[in-house]
Amino acid sequence: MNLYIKVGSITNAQRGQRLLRSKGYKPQIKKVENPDKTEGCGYALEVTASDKLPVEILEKNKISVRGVDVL
Amino acid sequence: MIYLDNSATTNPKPYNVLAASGYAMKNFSFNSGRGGYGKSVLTAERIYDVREKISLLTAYPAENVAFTPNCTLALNMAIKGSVRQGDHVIISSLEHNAVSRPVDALAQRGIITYDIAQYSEDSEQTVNNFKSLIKKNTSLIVCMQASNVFGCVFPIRDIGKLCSERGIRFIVDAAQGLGVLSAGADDNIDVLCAPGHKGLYGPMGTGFMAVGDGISIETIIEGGTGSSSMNLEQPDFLPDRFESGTLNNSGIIGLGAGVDFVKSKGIANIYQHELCLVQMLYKEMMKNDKVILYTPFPEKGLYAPILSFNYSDYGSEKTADLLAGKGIAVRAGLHCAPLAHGSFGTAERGTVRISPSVFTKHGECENFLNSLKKL
Repeated sequence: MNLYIKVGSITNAQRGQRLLRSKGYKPQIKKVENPDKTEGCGYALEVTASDKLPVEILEKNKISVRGVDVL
Repeated sequence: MIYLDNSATTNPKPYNVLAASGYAMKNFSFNSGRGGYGKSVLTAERIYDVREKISLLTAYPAENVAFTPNCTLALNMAIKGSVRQGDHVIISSLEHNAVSRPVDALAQRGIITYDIAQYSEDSEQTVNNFKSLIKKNTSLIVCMQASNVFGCVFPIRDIGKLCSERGIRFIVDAAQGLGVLSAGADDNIDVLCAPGHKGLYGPMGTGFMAVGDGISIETIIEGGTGSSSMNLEQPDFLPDRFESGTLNNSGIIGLGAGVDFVKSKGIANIYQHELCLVQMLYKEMMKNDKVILYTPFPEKGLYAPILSFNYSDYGSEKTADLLAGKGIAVRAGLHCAPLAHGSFGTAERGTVRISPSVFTKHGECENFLNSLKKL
């Protein structure tokens, strides 16, 4: 499945991308397409995974996850 | 020109800094953290690379490194964002106006009170001088790593330990330290402010504020960050909280190359090279009875490679002007540090300051000495 993980800022996205890359994932940084009305602009990581482990990895490393869509 | 004004800004810049800045200007003039297209994201990656480089240098998390246009702005953000009504602040007696003016402005507005801790040649005494001024409402100590006028190094690790023990925030102005000396989170520094264009050999117009985990700082500048845009409140996460507006991409990427340069040379080696030059200058200048020196011999670890002097009864600007006429660039005057001159008794005529860089050659220093003899 493809996970679309909203992480807020570009810096969070980059931290997350580097972290997930180090775990063997191939995440791509995307601008959030449909921003939450209370949140506004931000960035997301799109990553192919068999489960939601990437989300856990991000959260475990204190990267704020602001929402996850399964595409 | 023999350039001995590297405390103002290092010159020349290393080739890799020139190349990186030029390359960035051509290839990374895209707004990082704003667009979702490839070039914008790639640009942001290069910026993040520099955060990581500074993180490796200072031991703060990469995302806690906020880029600023210079060290002064970083200090203003750190100091003004750290105090509350009724707080007491302590600064050192050698501070640059980048620290003393913001602190004094806060006092003038009735927000804080502050005291000035005397610098001493004896590091333990310096720490005790800070300690003796601590009050119940002391919330912040701000101290330079090294004097921009006299080169005196402060025992920041010990002051940091004192702050940590007393629950006092510790902000360090590393303008004259970082690059020739080390400083970072391991020294119990809560907020480290530094320029990019001095000891790190980056372009002018760069600086940063590195913030320890869990340190909360109010903002003095708010604006667009490309994140949480619907929220009128400034983001509470780093670095966005302190990076409103478009970043200086070419400058920051050039700064990254500067950090690479410093690391390739080795901070200890750079310090050794520059201090040896200053020690040689000191010994030779001592032999010239018209030269007035203000500090003891600059021992390793106690002094940054900066030397202040005056010549005969000349005003410092006159001496610098005469040297300029011989093709030697030095800085004269008060160096934006009136407190330091007050401490050393040089407020009336200021001093002439010599500061080498890693590129300064022994022969250039000898030329300076010869010129000094013929003033």
